[in-house]
Amino acid sequence: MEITCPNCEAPNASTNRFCSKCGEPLPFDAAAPQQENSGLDLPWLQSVQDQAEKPPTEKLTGAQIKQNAATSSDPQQPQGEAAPSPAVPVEAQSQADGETDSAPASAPVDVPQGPPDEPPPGWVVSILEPAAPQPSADQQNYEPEELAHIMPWSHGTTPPEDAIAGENVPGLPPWLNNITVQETIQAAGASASPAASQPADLDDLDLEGIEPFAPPPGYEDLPAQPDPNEKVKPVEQVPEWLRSITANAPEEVAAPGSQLDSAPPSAFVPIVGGVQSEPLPISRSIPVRAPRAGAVEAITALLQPATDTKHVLTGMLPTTVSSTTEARRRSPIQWLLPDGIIYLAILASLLAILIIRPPFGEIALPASADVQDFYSQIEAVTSSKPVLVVYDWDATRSGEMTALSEAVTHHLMSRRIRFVTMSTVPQGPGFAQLVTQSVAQDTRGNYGYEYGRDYRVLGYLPGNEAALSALLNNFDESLPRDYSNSQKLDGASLIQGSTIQRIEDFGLIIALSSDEGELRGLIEQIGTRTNLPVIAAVPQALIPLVRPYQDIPMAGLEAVIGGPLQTHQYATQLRKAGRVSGSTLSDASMPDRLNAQSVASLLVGLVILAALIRLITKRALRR
Amino acid sequence: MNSRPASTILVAINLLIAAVAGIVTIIGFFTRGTFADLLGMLSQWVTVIVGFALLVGLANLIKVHIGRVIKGQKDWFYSLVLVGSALAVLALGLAGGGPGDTSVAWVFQWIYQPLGAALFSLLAFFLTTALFRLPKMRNAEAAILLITALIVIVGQAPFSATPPIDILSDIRTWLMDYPVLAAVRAIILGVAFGAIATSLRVLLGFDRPYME
Repeated sequence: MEITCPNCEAPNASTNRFCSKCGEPLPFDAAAPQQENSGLDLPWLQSVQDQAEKPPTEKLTGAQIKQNAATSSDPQQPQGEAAPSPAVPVEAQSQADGETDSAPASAPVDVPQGPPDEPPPGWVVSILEPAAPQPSADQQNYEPEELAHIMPWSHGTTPPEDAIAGENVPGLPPWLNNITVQETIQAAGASASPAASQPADLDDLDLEGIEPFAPPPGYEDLPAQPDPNEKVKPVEQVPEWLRSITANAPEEVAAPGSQLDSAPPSAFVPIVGGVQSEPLPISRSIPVRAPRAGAVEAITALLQPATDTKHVLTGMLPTTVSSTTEARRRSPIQWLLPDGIIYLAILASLLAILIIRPPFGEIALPASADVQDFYSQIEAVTSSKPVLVVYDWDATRSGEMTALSEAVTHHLMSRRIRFVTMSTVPQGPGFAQLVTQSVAQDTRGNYGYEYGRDYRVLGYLPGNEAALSALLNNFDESLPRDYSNSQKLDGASLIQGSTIQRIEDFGLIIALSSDEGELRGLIEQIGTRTNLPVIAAVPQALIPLVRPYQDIPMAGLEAVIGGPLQTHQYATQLRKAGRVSGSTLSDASMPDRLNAQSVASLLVGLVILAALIRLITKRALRR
Repeated sequence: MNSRPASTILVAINLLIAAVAGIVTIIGFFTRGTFADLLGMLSQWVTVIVGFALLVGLANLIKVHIGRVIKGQKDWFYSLVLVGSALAVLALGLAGGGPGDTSVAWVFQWIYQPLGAALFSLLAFFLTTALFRLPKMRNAEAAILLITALIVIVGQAPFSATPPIDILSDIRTWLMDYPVLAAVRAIILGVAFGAIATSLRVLLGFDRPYME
C-alpha cells in the first residue's frame, strides 16, 4: 500500500510519515493494511498491551471470574462470540448486555519468544504491577537528558507540594499517578457509555492538582497564541500532546479541536476512540526526536485500538524496528531516487580513478608550512639519540596512516636514526611490525637496518594515560614486551649501543595516531612533563582536533601533518632532499590516492550543491 | 545491628584509599621524587589491572558466544565464527611463540586490515546520502552547515590549490585557523573543567564510582 504525497505526488510507503522525496508530512492512510507483527521485539511492551486488553478482573464479580476461568480453560470456544471490545469496562458491558455473563476474552497476541532485549522502565513496572517495589533512582536506565526529553514533567520545576496526593511513583507523570491501566480503560469506556459519562464517575480520578503539560521548546513562540479573553479550558486528564499522537487521520487535521469544543467541560476525553484528539496543526512543525522504544508515546500507542496501533508505532519508533517489507517492494525507479544515483556516482568515481586516471594526482604543489615543520623536526634529531615512534592507529584508518607511517619510517632510516615503536592501542604493534619490516626489507632503499640493533617493535601498553605516566616514572618496569620475539626487555637492551634509562633519553617522539584521545594522553603525560618534542602524523579528519595543542608553550607538540595531500607533499620533500630517491616511496601510489581524494571531494561537493539547489527550488516554487 | 557501623567503616576506608591515591597522583604529576615514584607504582598497577581485565573480557566473550552456539540461539552461526576466529588466532600466536609470529602477521595483514578498512569505507555511502538529505531540516543552520562543508571539502582537494580556484583553499584555511580552532579549543577547555570538577567530587567523596 502506498501513499501519494499531496505536494509532489511521489509514491511513498504506507509506513512513511514524511515524503521520501520532498519531506512533506504525509496524510495518515486509514486503509493501510495492519500487519500482525509490528516489528517490535520488546516483550514487556507486548505485556503492556496484553494488560490493556485484559478485563479488569479485580472489579469482576465472582460469577464473572468463574466464567473467565472457564473461558480461558476452554480452548475450543470461539473468541469472537463472547469477546467484547477490550476497551469497554465490564460494568458498562454488563449494563449494555443486560447483565449477561459474557466473559471477555483476550485478543490473540503473538508474544515474542526469547529473553527481553530491554527491561521495562520503573514506571511501566508500576503500571503492570502496582504493588511491586519501585526501583531506586540510581537504577534508572535512562540518562537524565533522555528522561528530560521523554518525560519532561519529571524534570520540570514542579514543586513537590503540587504533586497529586497519594502514592506518587517516581518518574511517573502526575496525571498517571493513582491511575492504573484498568482504571483508565474503565474511565474511557464509561465516557463512551451514556450512563457512565456523568461527572460522578470521575470522582475517583482526583483531577485536582493535575498540571497542564509543558509544551516543548519553541511551541510558545509559534504564531497561534490563545486568546486571553477566551474561556479557559478545564484541566484535562490526558495532556494535549499525548492525545495528538492519534491525530494522524486527515479528518482530525482538517477540524482540530472540533470534538473538544462540543464535549462537556468536565468529561474525560478518552484516548481510545479515534477523533477525540486535538492535533497540533501541520504548520507547527516542532522538531521532536523520535522517542526510543519504551517511551511513554510508545506505550500510549499500544493502548490504541488495534486498527491504529501499527501505523502509530511505525511512525514513532525508530526505523530499525519497522518492517522492511515495503523497502523490498521498492521499484528500481524508487531505488534510484536519490540513494541509487548517489551510490552509482560513487561507483563511477571509483572506476574513473582506476581506469581513466584523472590528472589531479600529478599537480605539483609546494610543501606547506606544516609539512616543512614536520620535516625539519626529524632532520633536527641527532643520530646518537633514538626516536620513539608511537603507533596508535587501527585498521579503519589504515588507508591514510599506512602511507604516512611508511614515509616517516623511510625518513628515519634514510637518516640512520635508530628508533623504537610502541603502542597504546592493541592493534598498533601489528601495524608497526608490518610497516617497519616492509621498509627495512626495501631492497631498493637498502637501508641495512637490522631488528634489535637499529630498531625494535614493542608490544601493546595497556592503561592509556596511566600507562604513559608509569612509563615516565618507572621506565624499565613499564616497558611492554618485545612484540616480535616476546621478550622482556629493559632500557639498556632496547637498542644496541644505546642506554635508554628513561624516556627523556629519546630524541623525539613521533605520534602516529588515529584517535584524539591517545594523542592527547601522550601530550598531557609526556609532552608537558618533559622537554621532549612531539610531532604527530594523523588522519585528515583529526587535524582540527589536534591543532589546539600545537604551538602552545610547554605542550610539546611541535608539528602536525595529515591527509593524503600533506603525505604527498612530505614524500615530495623527501625526494627533493634525496632521502628516498632509491626507495619504493619514490614510486608509491601517491598520485592514485590524490586522485581518489580529488574525485571524492568533487562528488561530495556536487551532492551538496544538488541538495542546496533542490532546497532553493522547492522554496521558490512554494512562494 | 552491627552491620551499619561496619559498612560505615568500610565506606570510610574506601574514601580514604581513593583520596590518598588521588592526592598522591596529583602531587606526583607536578613533582619528582617520592610522590612521582608512588605515582609510577600506582600507574603500573593500573596497567596490570587493565591487562587482566582484557583477559577477563576475552573469557567472558567466548563464554557468552559458546553459550549461544550450544543453545542454538538466533544468529548462533555468527557466534560460532567469532569464537572460532578468536581461538584460531590465539592458537596461531601460541604455536608461533608470540603475537609477532609470521602467521599472526599474515592474518593481520590480509584479513584484519582489509576488513577494517572496508567497513570504514562504507561511511562514504552513508555520509554522502546523509548530506543530500540534510536540507530536509529546512532551517538556516542546515544551510550554513552545508555551505561550510562544501567549501572545506572542495578546498582541501589537491586541485583547489591551483589558480584561479585557490581562493577556496584560502577560505578553508581561514575557517580552520580561526572559527574551527576557537570552537575546538572552547570544547577542550570545557571538557577539562568538567573533568576537574568530576575529579574533585570523587576525591572529596561526593561521588563514589569505585563503590558501585
